[in-house]
Amino acid sequence: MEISELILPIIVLGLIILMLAMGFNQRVIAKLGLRNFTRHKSHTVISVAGLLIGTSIICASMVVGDSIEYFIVEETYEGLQLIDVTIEADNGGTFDESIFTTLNSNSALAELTDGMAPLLVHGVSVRQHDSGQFEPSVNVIGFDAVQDEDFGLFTMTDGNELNGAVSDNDTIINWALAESLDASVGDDLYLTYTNGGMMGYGDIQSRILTIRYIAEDEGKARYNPGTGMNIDTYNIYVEMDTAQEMFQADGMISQIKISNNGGVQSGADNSDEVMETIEPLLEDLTFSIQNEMVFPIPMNGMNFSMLSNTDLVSDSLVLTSNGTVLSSMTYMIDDESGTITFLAPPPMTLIMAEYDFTYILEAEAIKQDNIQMARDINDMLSTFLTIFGSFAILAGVILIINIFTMLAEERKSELGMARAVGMKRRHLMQSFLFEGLAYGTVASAMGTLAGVGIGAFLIYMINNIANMLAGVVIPFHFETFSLIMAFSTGFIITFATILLTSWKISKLNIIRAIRGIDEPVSDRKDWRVPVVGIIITVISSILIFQYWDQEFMVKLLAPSGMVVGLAMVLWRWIGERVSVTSASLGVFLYTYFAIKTYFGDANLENPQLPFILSGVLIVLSLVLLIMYNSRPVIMLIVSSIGRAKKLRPTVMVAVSYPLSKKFRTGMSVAMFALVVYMIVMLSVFSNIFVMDIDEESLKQGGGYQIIATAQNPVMDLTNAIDPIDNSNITSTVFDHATISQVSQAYASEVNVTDVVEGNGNGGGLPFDFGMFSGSIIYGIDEQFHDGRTFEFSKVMEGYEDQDVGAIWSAVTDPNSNFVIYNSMMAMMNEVAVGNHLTFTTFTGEVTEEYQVIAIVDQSTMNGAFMSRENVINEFGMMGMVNSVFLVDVDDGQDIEAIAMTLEKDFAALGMNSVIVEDMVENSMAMMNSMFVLFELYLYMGMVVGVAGLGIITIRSVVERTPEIGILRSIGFKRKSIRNAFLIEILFVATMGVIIGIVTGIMVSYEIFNVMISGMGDNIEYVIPWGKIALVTAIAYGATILCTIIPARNASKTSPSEALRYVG
Amino acid sequence: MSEKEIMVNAKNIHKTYKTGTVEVKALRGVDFTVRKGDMIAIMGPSGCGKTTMLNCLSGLDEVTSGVVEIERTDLASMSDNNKTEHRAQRMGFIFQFYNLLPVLTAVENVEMPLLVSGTPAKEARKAAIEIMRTVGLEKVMNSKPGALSGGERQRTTIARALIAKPAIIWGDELTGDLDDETANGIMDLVARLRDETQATFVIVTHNLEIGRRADKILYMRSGKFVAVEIPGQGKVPIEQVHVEEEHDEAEMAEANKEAVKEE
Repeated sequence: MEISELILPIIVLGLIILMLAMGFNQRVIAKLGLRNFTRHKSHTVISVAGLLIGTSIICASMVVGDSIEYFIVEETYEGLQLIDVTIEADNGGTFDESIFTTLNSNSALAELTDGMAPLLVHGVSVRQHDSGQFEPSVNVIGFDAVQDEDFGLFTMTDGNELNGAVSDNDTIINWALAESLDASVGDDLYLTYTNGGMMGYGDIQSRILTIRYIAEDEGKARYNPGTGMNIDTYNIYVEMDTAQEMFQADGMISQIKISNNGGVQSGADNSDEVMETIEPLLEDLTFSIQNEMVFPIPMNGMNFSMLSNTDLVSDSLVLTSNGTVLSSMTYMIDDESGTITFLAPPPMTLIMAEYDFTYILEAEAIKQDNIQMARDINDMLSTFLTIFGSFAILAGVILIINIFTMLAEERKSELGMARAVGMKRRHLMQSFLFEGLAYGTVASAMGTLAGVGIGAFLIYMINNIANMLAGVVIPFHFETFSLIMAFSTGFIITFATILLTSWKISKLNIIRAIRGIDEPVSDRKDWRVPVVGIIITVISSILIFQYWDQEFMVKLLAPSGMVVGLAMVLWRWIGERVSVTSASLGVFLYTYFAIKTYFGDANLENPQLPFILSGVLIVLSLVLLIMYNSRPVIMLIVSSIGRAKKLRPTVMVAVSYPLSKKFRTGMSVAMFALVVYMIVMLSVFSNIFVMDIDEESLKQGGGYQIIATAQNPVMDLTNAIDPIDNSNITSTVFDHATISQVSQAYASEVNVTDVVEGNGNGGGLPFDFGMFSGSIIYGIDEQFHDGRTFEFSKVMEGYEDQDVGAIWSAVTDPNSNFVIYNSMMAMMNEVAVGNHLTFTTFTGEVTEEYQVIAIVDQSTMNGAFMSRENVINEFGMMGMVNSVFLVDVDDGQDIEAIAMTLEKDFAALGMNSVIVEDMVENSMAMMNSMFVLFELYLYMGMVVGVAGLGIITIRSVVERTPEIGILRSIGFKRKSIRNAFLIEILFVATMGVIIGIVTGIMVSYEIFNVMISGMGDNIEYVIPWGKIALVTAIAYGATILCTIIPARNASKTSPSEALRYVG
Repeated sequence: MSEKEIMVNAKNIHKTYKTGTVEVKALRGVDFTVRKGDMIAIMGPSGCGKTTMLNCLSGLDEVTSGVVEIERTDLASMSDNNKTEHRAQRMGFIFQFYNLLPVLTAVENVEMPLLVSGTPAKEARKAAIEIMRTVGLEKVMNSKPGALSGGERQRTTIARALIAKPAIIWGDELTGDLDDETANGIMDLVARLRDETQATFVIVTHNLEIGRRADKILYMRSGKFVAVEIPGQGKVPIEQVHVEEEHDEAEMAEANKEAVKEE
C-alpha cells in the first residue's frame, strides 16, 4: 500500500477528531446540530438514503475491482504455484538446454532461488480413440521429473503424490483434459501436431501416448505455460526426452521455470532481485548461443545473408549444423538482392541451422507481472466504473446540496432567532457541520454497506459475461481497505458539500429569516461579481492565447470561461437574469460547437474527462437557461394543460412552486437531466451495435455458415492425410457443403506509410490501440468471395462504383497489390482506405507495399485479406499459423451436425468449427450484457434522482403544510392537493428528462458524426426511441412511486391542522 | 321586522384534541347561531378555543360531537368534497398571517377561489383585477406576497376571501399581525365591503377595538362562551349564550354592569 493512498482516510480521521474536539469546546452547538439530525427521524432516514447513493456507487466500483483483482491473483497463485520467473526465447521458440545447465549452476542465482527446471512445451491436438472425443489445443509439456520436484509433486486422482516420472510412451494428463476427453488411466491418446518451430505450417506428425496417471487440477498439473493463468488449461506431461524426440528438438527446451526463495506468495516479492541477477546472465548467454538455435523451415523470399555457414552446392542449398549436412534443397538466388527462391517446395522438416539471427532470451517475473496486471485491471475497472458512475455521483452531490438547502429553508426562522439571540455565523456553520458530520458518517457507512451489495450484484452480472466469454466465474471479494476508501471518499464528498452549503446558509439575514421574507433579488451594487468575472475572463484569455493548440481542455473550457466571466462583468448593468441567461446560452452553444468541431480531431489518450465535462456543461447550462427564463414555461404549461378549467388552478400551483425555487428546482432538474443524458448517450451507442441476428450472420459470415480452423495447417482439405494411419481423411461434409480455404499468416507489425487526408484514422474512437500493431493476414482466392454477401463499409476513392465482386477480384489477383481490411483490425491498426501498407513478417522481413482498397464490415475474421499467392510469397509456408475453412452448408442440411462432423472427421488436423450464427448470437448477447451492466450502473443515478424528488416531496409537504391549509380552505379538494404535488414533481422530472433527452441526442449525434460514422458507411445514427420511452417510463414510474405517499399524506392533512402547523 | 335567514347554527359542539395520551378539550358544548348579514366577533384569551370554534363552524375541522349546520345543511352529512366545494362557493377566509401562496402573484392568489370553482380564466382574472382595485391594490397586483407590506398582504387576503362573493367570511385574527393604524384601515375596508356585499362575517380576535366593530361580541373562555356584548350596550356574562335570543336592552345593561363589577 502506498502512503499516498492513506491520505484520504487520514483526512477523514483528522476531520472527525477536529469536529469532536470542536464539539467538546462548543457543546451547545454540537448538541444543537446532533439533535437536529435526529429531530425528524423519518426525514433523517430518507435523507440518509439519498446521501448514501454516491458512496455506494464508489464502493461498488471498488468492490468490483477487488473481486477481479482477487480472481486474477488467486488464479495466478493457483496456476503458477512456486513458479516466480520464466525464461523464454523472445520469439517463443526453442533454445539449447545447455542454457538451463549454465543458469542452474550459477551460484548467485542459486542463493536467490530454491528451484529451477526446464520445460519443452508444444501445442498439439488430441483424440481419445475410444470415446472419439478430442481437444484441438492442448499443451504437451516435456519435463525433467527430478528437476521438477522443486516445484512440488503431482497429486494423482488415486491420492498418490508422485514426481511424475513416466516411461517413453506414457503420460500424465490433468483432470480437466481427462474429463474433456472422457479418458481414464490406461487409455491411449492420439496426438497430432506440426513440426514447425512456431506451430506453423509443416508435416503433420502423430504420436500415441498412454495415460499413466491423471493428476488432480491443482499445483503444477494446472500450469499454463503460455499465460501462467490456469483458465481452460489442458496439459499432457511427458518426460523431457520423449518431448524432444516427438518435436524433433533434441537437446532443446522452450522454457526455464524458476522458483524464488519463499513460498507461493512470498516468492513473488523476491522477483526484482532474481531478475536483476538473471538479466545480465541472459545477455551473455544470448550471444554465446546465437548460432545454436533452431531455425525453422526456410521460405521463399528469405535473404541469403540470413544464412551463414551454409554450403552452396550448384543449385541446391545445404544447411549444416556443426559440419553435419542436415538438408539440401533446390533454390534460385538473386545475385543483387541475395533473395532465395526455392524452386520446389521446401521440405517440411525441422532443420538445425546456423544463422545470424539474434534470438534473445527473456526472463519474465511472471507471477509478479500477473499480480501487477491484476492491480492494473482493478485500478482501470474501478476508475472506469467510477467515471461511468460519475454522473450518478454528481447527482448525489446535488442531492446533498438540495437536502441541506431545504433543511436550512425549513429552519430559516429558527436560524434567524438563533442569530438574533447571539449565535455567530460560524456557530450556525458549526451547528450544520455537526449535523453534516452525523449525516456524513451514517450515510457513508450505510453507503459503503449498500455498495458491497451492489458490487455483489454487479459481479453477478459480470459473471454472466465472463462465463460466456471465457467460462470463468469471478468470486465476490472485497478488501477492507477498499471499504475504508469508499467510506472516506463518500464522507469527504458529503462533508465538503455540507461545508459549502452551510457557509452559504450562515450568511442569512436575521430579520428576513425571522419574518420569513424572501431573499431580495441580487444587489447590483455588489462589486464582487464583476471582480470575479474579470479574473475569470483574464485567466480564460491567457489560456486561450497561450495553450489553445496544446491542451484540448483549453479548447473545451476556456471560451466558456470567457463567456461566463464577461457575463459576470456586465452583471452590474444588465442584471442577473440577462447575465445568467447570456452566460448559460453562451456555454451551451459553445460546448455544442466544441464537441462538433474538436472532438473528431482530438486524439485523446483519456477521452473520459472531456466526455464527462462536456456533458455536464451542456446539461447544466441548459438547465440554468430554462430556470432563469421560466415565466414563458409556466405560461405555456398553464395555458395548454390548464385549458381544462378544473385542472387550471392545480396546474398553476403545481408549476409555480418549482419555478419560484429556482435553485432547488434547478438542482433537481440537473440531477435528472445528467442521468438521463448519460443513459440516452449509452442507449444511442448501444443501439448502433444491436442488429438483426440473421442479417448480421449473413454479413459476418458472408453467406458461410461455419468457420472451421485447423490448428495443424493443411493446404488442401480434400487430400488431408491422417498421420496416425496415413490414410486419406474422408468426410461426408463434402457432400453437403461448399468449402473455401483461407490461408492464414501473421504479420508482427503493420506499417502505414501514408494516411489519406480527410479519412482520419479510419474512424473509431480515439483510444490507443498501440498494442495491436500486428495483424492476421488471410490468403484468399476467387472462391472465397464468389457469390458471397460480405459488405464493405469503406471503399477507396475511384472504386466506389465497382461492384463488391470486382473489388474482391482486384485483391485475389495473384499480381495484386491491394488488400482489404476488416473494420475492427482497421481501427486497431489505424488503417484507412487508400493507405499504403507494409507488413513485417515473422522473420523480420518487410513485405512489398500494398494499398487498402476497401474495409469489409465483418469481425469474424479480423485482419487483412490478400491473395493466397501473395501470402505464400510474402510470408512463406512457415508464416502460416493455421488454415481457416469457410463452409457454406447446402440448404436443408443441419448446420450443427455438419460442424460436428467437420470437427470429428478432421480431428487429426485439430479442427475447431464455429457456427457463425451462434457466434453472432453470443457476441450480441455478450455485448447486450455489457450494455445492460453499464445501464444498470447508470440507473443507480436514476435512483439518486428519484430518491431526490421523493425527499423533496416529503420536505415540500412539511414545508408547505400551512399553504395546504390555505388551499383546502379556498376550495382545493384532497385530490387536487395530491395532484398538485404529483404534477409539480412530474413537472420537475419532465424538465430533467426532456433536457437529458435533448442534450443526449444532440451530443450523441455529434459524437456519432465525428467519431463513429467513420467506422463504416453502413453505420447509421438511430435515435433509440424505444429505449428512451423506457427510460422515461421508468423515471416517471419510480418518481410517482416515490412521491405518491407524501402527496397523499399532504392531501389527507386536515385544513385546520395545516393552518395551525408551525413546523 | 322579518327575521334574517340563519347562516350557521351550531348546537352543543365539543372538540377534543388528542396529543399522545393527553386530551385537550378545546370546545365544551358550545351553541352558536349567526344570521345572514351579521358580523359576529369571537373574543377571548389565547388558547380559549376561538380558532377551533371558527375552524369547526367553517368545516375546516371536524367536531367531536354536536351539530353544525351551514345554511341549513348538517356538515356531518357532507362529504369532504362537498364541504370543500361549499367552502369554495359560499365561504371566504381571512387569516392572521395573510396565508397567501408565496409562489403566486397577488392577483393570482386572488383569482384562485374562482378558478377552483371552475370560472373561466379570463373571467376570473377580470374579477380579480376589479376586486383588487376595490381594495386599492391595483398597483401591486403582479407582485408576489414577499414583496408586499403587511397591510397589502392582508388586503390581498380580503380580496381573495371576497372574490367569489361568498355568503360567509371567516376571519381569524385578521389584523393580529398589523399595527393599529393599518388594522383600523383593514377594518374600515371590511366594514365597507360588508355593506356592499351584505356578506356574513364571523371574526375571531383578541383586540376589543376590532371586536367592537362587529354587531355582537361573544366572549370565550376555556372552550365556552362566557359573555355577550352588543357594542355600545355593554357586556353580559352568560352561562350559555344563544345569540339568536332576544335580550332586551335593560337585561343586557344589567348583565353588563354585573360584568363590570366582576372585573
